[in-house]
Amino acid sequence: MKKKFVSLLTATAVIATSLAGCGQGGGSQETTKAPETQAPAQSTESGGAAQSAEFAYPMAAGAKLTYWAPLNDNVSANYSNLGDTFFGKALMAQTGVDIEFMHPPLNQQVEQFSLILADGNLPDLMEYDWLPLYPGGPEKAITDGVILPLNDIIEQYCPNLSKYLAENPDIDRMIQTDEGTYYCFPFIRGDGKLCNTIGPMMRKDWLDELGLEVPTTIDEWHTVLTAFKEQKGATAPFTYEQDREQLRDTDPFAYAYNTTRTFYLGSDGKVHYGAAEPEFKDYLATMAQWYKEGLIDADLATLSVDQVSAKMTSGTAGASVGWAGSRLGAWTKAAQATNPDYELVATPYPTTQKGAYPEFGQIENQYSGRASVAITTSCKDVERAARMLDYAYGEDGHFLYNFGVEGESYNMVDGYPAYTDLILDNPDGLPISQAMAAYIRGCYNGPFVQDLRYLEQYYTLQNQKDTPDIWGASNGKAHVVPPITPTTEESKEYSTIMNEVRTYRDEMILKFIFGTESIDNFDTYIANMEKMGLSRALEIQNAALARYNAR
Amino acid sequence: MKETFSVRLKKDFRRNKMLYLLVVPVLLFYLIFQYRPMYGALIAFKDYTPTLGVADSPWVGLDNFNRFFNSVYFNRLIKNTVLLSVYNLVFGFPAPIILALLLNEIKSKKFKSATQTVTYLPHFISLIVVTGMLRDFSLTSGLFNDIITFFGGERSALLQNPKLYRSIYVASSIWQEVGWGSIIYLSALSGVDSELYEAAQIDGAGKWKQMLNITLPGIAPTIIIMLTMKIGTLMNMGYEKTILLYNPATYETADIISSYVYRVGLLEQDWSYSTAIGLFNSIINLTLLLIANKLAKRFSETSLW
Amino acid sequence: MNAMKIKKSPAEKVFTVFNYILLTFIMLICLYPVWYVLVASLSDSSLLMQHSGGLLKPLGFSISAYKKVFDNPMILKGYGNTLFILVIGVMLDIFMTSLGAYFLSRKQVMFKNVIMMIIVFTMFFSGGMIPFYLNLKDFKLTNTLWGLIIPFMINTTNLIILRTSFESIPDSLIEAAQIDGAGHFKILMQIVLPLSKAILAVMILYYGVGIWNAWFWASAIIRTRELYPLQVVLREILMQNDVSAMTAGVGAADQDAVATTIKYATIIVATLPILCVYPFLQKHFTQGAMVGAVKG
Repeated sequence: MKKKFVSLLTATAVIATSLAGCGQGGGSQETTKAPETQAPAQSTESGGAAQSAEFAYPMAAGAKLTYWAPLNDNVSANYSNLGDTFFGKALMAQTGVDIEFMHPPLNQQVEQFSLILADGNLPDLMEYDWLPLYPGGPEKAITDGVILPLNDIIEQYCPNLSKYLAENPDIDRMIQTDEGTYYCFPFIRGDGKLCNTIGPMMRKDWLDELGLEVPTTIDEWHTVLTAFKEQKGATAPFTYEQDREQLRDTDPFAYAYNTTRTFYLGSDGKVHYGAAEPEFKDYLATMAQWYKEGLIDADLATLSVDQVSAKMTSGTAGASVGWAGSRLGAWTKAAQATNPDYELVATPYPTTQKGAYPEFGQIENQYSGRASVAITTSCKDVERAARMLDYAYGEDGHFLYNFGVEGESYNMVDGYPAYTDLILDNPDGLPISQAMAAYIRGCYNGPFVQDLRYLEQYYTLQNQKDTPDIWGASNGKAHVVPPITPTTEESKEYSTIMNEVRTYRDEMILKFIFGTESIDNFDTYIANMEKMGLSRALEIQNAALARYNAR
Repeated sequence: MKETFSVRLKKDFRRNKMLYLLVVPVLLFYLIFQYRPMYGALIAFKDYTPTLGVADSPWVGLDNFNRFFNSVYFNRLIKNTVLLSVYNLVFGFPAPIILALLLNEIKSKKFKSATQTVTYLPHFISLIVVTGMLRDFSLTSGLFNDIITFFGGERSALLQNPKLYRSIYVASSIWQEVGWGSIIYLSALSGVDSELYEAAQIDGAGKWKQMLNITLPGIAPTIIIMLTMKIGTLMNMGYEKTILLYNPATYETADIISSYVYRVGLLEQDWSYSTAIGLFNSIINLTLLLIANKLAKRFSETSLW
Repeated sequence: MNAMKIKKSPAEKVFTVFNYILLTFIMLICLYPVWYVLVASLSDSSLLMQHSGGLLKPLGFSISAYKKVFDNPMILKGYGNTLFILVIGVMLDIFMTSLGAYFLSRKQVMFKNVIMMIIVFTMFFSGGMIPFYLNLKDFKLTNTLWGLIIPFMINTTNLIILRTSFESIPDSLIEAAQIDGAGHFKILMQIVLPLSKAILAVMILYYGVGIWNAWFWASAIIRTRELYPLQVVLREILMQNDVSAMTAGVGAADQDAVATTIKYATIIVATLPILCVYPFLQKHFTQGAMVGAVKG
């Protein structure tokens, strides 16, 4: 009874929104719902559409699909299989496809992936980080006979995805291989604001107490950190996790000097390696100076999340870099238990000159290659698999993946999908992330387009809600390297070189900052990276970029 | 008159038929589960793709090995692996023996039993927790520094100091394993005939003499075998503890073969590469074992073969 | 044995005192981290997050971590699976290892050294994870608990240790039994094993703990989550928010860390049982098992 009501409601909602002309091109050709069997002659757009006019979800009974995917830990806390969650059940009901989910243990997906491949018994669908993790790249996954190329399949069976890609050509480009082959149903962050989630933050209550403004330049940061140290007794005014590569590479102070620790796209349209550029020297000099003055945590290299959390919540530290949810939010919640005045505010990415607009900032590509689903060569009913996956890119599926089941996990309030208390204030005491994970995938990843409105509600504090704007205010997008891949032959060479370069870079950066190595030796440092083959690596990257641009 | 081979063979089978029968299941076990998959070692010489399988993956000869040998860090990695392992051996091998000997001298059963139980607890704490604690204690504001200043020293970030890394690594390994490691020696000690001690006491020998002449020789076979096997696994330094304890500031002493490969391998699932390195380690280990075994045979009655 | 009181020299008295003090110190430093884990698991998670340094008692008492742990559907299943593997595994392991150790401890067996070398060779060379797995698949052992028992029945190190111990059993006993007409299997069962209680207790402990702590092969071989042994479940909880986690995307990387209290509670829950086993086995290898046997 409930299911019928829900699908009726959903159908109504979808019709309503599409009729309201939500700005999608070619409005009234929705073919994903409306079980009317109007004359197929109505939709004569392309060969494929003629078929899809008769198609509707849920599909008729058919083969069961096997689907291998990592199980997110917010799900595994309460369920041992995705198929047991409200999300899983709703997905199967709405698409009409019976799915058997298979999950590797957390953090063991790489090993299990290889075993499955060696086994030969591939499941029908595999959700994996195809782009970064398959050795040799996705094109090789196709030539190795692991997964199917999807060009024809998408054209024939996936009107939703096709439509989305047609409307978003830059994303379309990201998800292909250099040869123009589609290989997966991608995880896309549907709005730019979903892509910059890391940034600097600091104690607002301290700033207010000291009468200071939120700093925007390197010099202002220096003033603020010194004040934290001298007047608030912070022994580690600025601290952040070094053991997590993603955070380590997001150094707001490097950004201030128009460089980064890793690869970036220069204004000349070429790939550069920030740690080898002259501006990096200025960054290092400033950091070394701050370290000497005790403004940076003395234990910088050894910090992990537990220690940073302890320092930020207890007042040993005043500023850090991290995510808005699991750092800013979590720290605020924990600290306010004992100190109600505790407040963390996001600061903009600093620059070297007052009033300058930050050139660099943290941002990721909308498609990172992670958590995307490929159809394997073992799949017998390809159409069924493709249509099941395509559901996510249509209106109904989009809402399911991002907001869950209407009436249960969200309600449409003035056209805005608002999560219910089941999610935001779970009666069983589940934290929001776990309550969400039972109903949606929007809070982690998967083969769908992530909706910004999930994030707007996941961030419950105003300070969190402000982060996308504050941290997004930079030209970072122009400098992020698109998802390029070296060729299969080059990839081994590339990773050997880069492992050496990265090892050396990480060691030397700390040596410069700690003062064990004099900044005057910066040129030797660059020369050594050259010796390791940095220019060859850049050559490979730029060739890959050229191929990408030509897609 | 020396017997011919076939004569000896017949004699042997007649004598030991039952014995050979007894060992058949054991041999089967090794053949089926260890030898049957051993062809996989060939992966080291190929460019292996799981979907192609070992047979169909192309040969690349020594490429994988060269990739490793030509690394800028090759020397450092070998040096760190060997040094860390040797330190572990030199300091970590005697520790459980000493603990067992000390425990053996305790007359109070309750105290002995309590000590045994408590000292083996650390073995069960996951590495993740142990290294987390080590990191906490090594902070400039942490417990270890508190102790150092108590003795007049200066505070410093201990785990950022490459010179201190090996000491911290080895000391914490000893702490974690000394209790558990003493179990085998305690068991061996229990097998030493107590009447020998009584006789020695009557003869007027003190504790020290007793230990030298009764205890140590009594557990010598155990010690020698354990030592031989430890030497034979010298190069097997796993990456887990290193990964959790090191950071770029200590790479120069902390980065070992397995942690370096982990950083490469993780990004590429390069089975060929990691198998090649594993093979390299194994050959060194085997050589060391053969030497150790020869020495054991020379200087004692116990050896592997 | 005889209550013949021999006077202790002053040096020995000092030594004894020193010994007690040293061992007490060692006990304390071994106990402290375990105590820390226990105490932290009973603390309030917000207070724990702000705290750095040592702990002697819980920060704000709370058993919510334990409640959450037992709510996890996998913990109890994990216990069940591990117990199954443990009971059956240890029995099979000891049996097989004894056979091999007995054989290798006998003298004047022509092919003993050859077989020893064959066995030891496997300590150094193996096919690697994927061929090992494919091999298991051929025997239909993948995705079963038996697949975690049978391929691991003999640990070569334990085999060698046991062999060394069997070697020290006096030949006179064996020969006497052989003269009485006993076959080797009977000798093994009725003479060698009973005299080896101490080392067998150690073997039970080694194999038992090995099985209890094993997670790697389970995570490689088992596909059905219901069959996960306890350590795999435990690891999943401990590794959440781990450095090597490769999940990305807004939600995935930016997740509320599982409260550290829950991690600690998981450790206690998963480790406590095995800790309780040791005292029972302990008495077996601290008694003189060999006393009187020689005279016999």
